Amino acid sequence: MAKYAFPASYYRDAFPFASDDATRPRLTGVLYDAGGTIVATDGHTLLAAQPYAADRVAPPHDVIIPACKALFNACKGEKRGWPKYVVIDQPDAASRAITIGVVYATTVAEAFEPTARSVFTLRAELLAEEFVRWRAVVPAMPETARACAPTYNARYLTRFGGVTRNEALRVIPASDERAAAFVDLGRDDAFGILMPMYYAVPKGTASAANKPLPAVPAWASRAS
Amino acid sequence: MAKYAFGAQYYRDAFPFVSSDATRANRARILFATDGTIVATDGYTLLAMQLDAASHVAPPRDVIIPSSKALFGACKAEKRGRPKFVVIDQPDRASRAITIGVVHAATAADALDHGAPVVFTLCTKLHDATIPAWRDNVPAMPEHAPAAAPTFRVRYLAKFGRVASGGGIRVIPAGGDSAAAYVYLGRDDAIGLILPMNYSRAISGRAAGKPAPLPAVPAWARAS
Repeated sequence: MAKYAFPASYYRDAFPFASDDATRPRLTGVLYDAGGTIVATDGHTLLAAQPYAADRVAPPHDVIIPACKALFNACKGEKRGWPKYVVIDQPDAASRAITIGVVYATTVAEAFEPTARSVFTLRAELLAEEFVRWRAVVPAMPETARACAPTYNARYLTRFGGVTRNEALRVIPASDERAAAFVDLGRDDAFGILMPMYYAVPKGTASAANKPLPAVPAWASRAS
Repeated sequence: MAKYAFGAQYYRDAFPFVSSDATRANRARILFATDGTIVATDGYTLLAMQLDAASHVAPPRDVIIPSSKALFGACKAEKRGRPKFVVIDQPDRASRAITIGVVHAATAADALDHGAPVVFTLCTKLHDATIPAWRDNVPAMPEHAPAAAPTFRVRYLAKFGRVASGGGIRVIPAGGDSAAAYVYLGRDDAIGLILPMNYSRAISGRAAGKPAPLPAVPAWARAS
């Protein structure tokens, strides 16, 4: 029997980043790894978060929790001073069957108590897929900001808005305009990765060249 | 008597960029200039659009149209092949009283005909305010993308996402972390400007010759 838990706010943060594409089953869940890291990705954006050690009980091995809208809703609406925890009960380590509960508790230890007030219970199965090797796509942070201006899908940028501190977002391209960018969320327990939008390299330019900057239209320039 | 008109989608695009803050009523307005330019700003973001000849009949002098949620609502939900136009009727040039109508028409000239089907009418007044010198705030486009990674408010980026072609935006800092940035929307007829967050702090940092340092990738996220 294994029981593990983490603050519900992390599921709430991760859920929008999981894919809802049924043809990509390995991305339709939220990874909770043995190191206590929570990761969700849809291939365009990735959110990785690690709850503080005192706030989590990590599973004995990496598990993929299904992304479930009802569970997401249960994790929302936290009251001040009344934190919620997601508690996962896996009675048989050989089976993928689990019971996911959302309970009110002040500490993770309290969340395991039978007296903890439950607000939601779901019987589900851990996903059988192997999660992507996400650490391999985390870019190294450059020493200084790169001179490039990639194009991003505004919808993906907005997704990060829900998990930032003070709504402040800083997108830091790791190398060039085609590479994944690091998204600084102003939090020390979470960060994001964002892929730029595809664009064709204009003919006659080096494949590594950045996309040329647009011109300010004549009607908008000061002289007009 | 003066009658002028422009495509309703331009009002729909501009409306989210005006300030909804009651204490900044002087920013709750949209400029419609004699050269067919529509500009909206809330002090943090600016959207400027140049209308093509078929989609507008310019006013005889620059006017400032009030922003109205009801008018914005009327400009939405355009049906395919049935474009809407905003028609402004100013019976007396000496007075600021106007009637704003939203009509179905194929061209701006058709919209001024009496037979155009009206879907919305609003009696209001033009704003009596100085015409903002918005072109002074449009930064010059740098030759190459500068090495900067400013922090932006996600809500403001999302606004640009709604008016961008294909949802893709390209934010190009004109100077460094503290300067206004140019927002390329993938459209020939519109440009955006956005101010970074912590503007004053970034300015003082720049004065001290220090760009904002880049964050570190957390140790738990690095491939081991």
